Amino acid sequence: MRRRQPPPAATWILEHLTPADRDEAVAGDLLEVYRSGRTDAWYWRQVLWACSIAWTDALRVRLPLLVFVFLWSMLAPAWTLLFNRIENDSPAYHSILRLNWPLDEFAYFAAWILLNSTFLWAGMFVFILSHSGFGRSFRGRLVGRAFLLAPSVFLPAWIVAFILMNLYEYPGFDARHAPLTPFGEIVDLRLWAIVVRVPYFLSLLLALWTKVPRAAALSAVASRDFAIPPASQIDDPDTEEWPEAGGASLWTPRLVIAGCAAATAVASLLCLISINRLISAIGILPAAIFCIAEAVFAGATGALLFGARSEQRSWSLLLFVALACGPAWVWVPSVVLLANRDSAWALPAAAVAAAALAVTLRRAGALSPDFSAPDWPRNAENELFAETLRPIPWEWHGLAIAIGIYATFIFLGTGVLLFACASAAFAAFLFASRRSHISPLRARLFKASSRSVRRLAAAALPALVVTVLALLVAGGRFGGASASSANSIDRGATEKSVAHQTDPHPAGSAGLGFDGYQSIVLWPIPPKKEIVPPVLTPDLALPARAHRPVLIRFNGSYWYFQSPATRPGPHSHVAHGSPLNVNIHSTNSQPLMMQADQLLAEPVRISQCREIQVEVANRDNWPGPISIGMRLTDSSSTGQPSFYLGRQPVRSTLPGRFTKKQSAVEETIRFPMPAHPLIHRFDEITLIFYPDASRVEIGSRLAVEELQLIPR
Amino acid sequence: MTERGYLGEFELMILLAVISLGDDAYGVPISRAIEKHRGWEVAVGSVYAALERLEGKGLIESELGDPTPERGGKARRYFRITREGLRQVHETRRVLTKLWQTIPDLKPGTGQEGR
Repeated sequence: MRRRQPPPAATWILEHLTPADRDEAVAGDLLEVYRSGRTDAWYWRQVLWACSIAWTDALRVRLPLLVFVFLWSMLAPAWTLLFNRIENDSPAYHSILRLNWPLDEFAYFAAWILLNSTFLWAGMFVFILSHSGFGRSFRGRLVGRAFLLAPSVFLPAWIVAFILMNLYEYPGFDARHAPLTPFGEIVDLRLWAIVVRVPYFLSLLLALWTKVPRAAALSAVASRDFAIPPASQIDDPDTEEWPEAGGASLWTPRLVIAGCAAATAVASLLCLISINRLISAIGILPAAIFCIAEAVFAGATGALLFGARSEQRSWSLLLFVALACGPAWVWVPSVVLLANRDSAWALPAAAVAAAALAVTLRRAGALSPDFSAPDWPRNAENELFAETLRPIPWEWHGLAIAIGIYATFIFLGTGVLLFACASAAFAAFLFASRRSHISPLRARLFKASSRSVRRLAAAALPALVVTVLALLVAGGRFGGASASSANSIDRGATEKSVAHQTDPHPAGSAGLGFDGYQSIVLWPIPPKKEIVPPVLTPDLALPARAHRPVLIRFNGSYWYFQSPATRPGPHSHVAHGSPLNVNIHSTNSQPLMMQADQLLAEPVRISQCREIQVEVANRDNWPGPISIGMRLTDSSSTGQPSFYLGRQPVRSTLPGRFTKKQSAVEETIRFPMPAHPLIHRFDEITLIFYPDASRVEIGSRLAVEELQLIPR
Repeated sequence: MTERGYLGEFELMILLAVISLGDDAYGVPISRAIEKHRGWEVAVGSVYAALERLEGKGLIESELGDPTPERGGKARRYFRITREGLRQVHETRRVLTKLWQTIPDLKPGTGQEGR
């Protein structure tokens, strides 16, 4: 006899929409009474009443916490102002920006999360102290967890707030807001100030929610019932087994799909951002490792977040999903990078990733054991003839694989590489899952984990090699790799070929985007033959005991471009003029970048150079800071190694110094040479102009006047 | 250290129900016992809220039982009174009895109600 089931929606509400410190006893009691003959209406009434009472009780107990968190989060706009000041003025922050990629990203992120965590921890500290003053003591272990939980909640909350704010009003938090007095910042009720408070409010509230000391007995019960089991209990191989083969319902492929989607999304965002950064030749390997690590981390986090709400959640299971899917996720960055450059090598990379996923899932028993068994036709009962031909087994997999391959070529022919990759991956997944050996996994957790770790490490090595190659293909800046790679479709052309194009349009009205130009190359006025800059022979330019700076009048080109371009394309608009006299802006919402290149006749040894000074003329009347980065390239050496000297602000554009200008303002920007540079000489100086987020669509009206090489 | 506080009417009823039910005191029989003597339906959520308050005051303690199929695999939470809870019940009874003894007999319809 089948038992009566209560309304599932009501049960879901009871299990998910009540405070976390309610246990299953209420749900069990309601179910028991319901099955004794109560109606659905009674069940609904009881559920809603239980929810409302539970929330009222939870909020009443935590009223002091709510008030405190609200007041502390009101300080968030003032804190943001202080944070920005630290970012702009702190020498430590400037030294972070001078690091090579991806070290600068790591360091910047660490500093960002540390500073914001400091604000949160200060609030928690004040709250705990105030509670101690009222004679209530916190449990040390719970407090420790709260301090760890706060930054881990803050990060996703801030990302969500950032995205929503940008969607509502671009550029969101980065928009310029007139600074108020400290008190004005605290009581600021403008939209951005309210939104910026939300992540801090949620982080503090969630971190302290279950840690508020109630009566001793009650807090003891709460900690006993809802504490995460100790690690020894989770990891004990004798207490937990892996899901058996065929346990697809337990394994739930949704976890795998969620992880794959997260890995792809994050890799698409971060890896494509990274290829637009300046990476030295030495930085490519760390960059590839970083891309792979972030894809695996994102995949595991996606699966974890999805599985955390599942009824079948198990930390060991989620860990194993991450390890089992890891061999596939490590290939995601290379697929994304190659697909972004329209490289046909994205197809085999996607196929390898899908095959790796199928094989690992199959070996782990995540796929049903009869998944590979051919479906034989069942027509033996009604045979028309005494003897029939042996029927051909019906294999839907074969048909699906064939369709996948066919679709791959169709999409490839129509130029939709992304869909071609998806079709190839689909076909490879099915094929690998059919052909891989079934190994019913009944091993204990420890053995399975170590196997998965080994598989992950083995898969990561070839993926790392491919990712490095993909980065070389994607980032045409470093080492001229894109030009040397025959496997990529190089959309760019060399600077020289662009420079020889005709000039049919005036530059002053040129725009970018759908109705504009791919990019704009601006040469100085008047048009002139290619001039060799001051000839710098080692003896003449920078003699060993030289005391006089060497002056180089800038006569290179300015290039306006948008991501992901790395070089001027064949359809770039070439004009003559000075950035001081043209207004170039983006016609879409993509940031508009500008860089200036100066070629030298002969290489200069870095050991002879102490500093490079850049004289710039600023006639920019659009508020918003601009900074300049410098890259030195040795184009005469194999691989064309380059070295990034870091970024320096243009002081006349900083807040407080910005003025409306009728004529250009001169300014000298210094780039000190490091003691141990990564290259020994250079013959090309590239200056990259970084606009502030508030003015990314406006071209910088800054011109490079001259460069001075200061001898040691 | 337990908090001193007065027992409300509903809390006292629950404490008495827990005492009378003994080892079988969990949400459902406690609710039924109160419904039986009070005469109208009691929300299980209200009973649990009061039980939690009492547990917070240290007047009762609880432990989880084994999950049973009839309850969808969910465990029962059994409650039992503590020494402090028993003391407070006796104290409340003593105070109420004394107060009650100070009131003259009230006979319905005599007009003495509420005096």
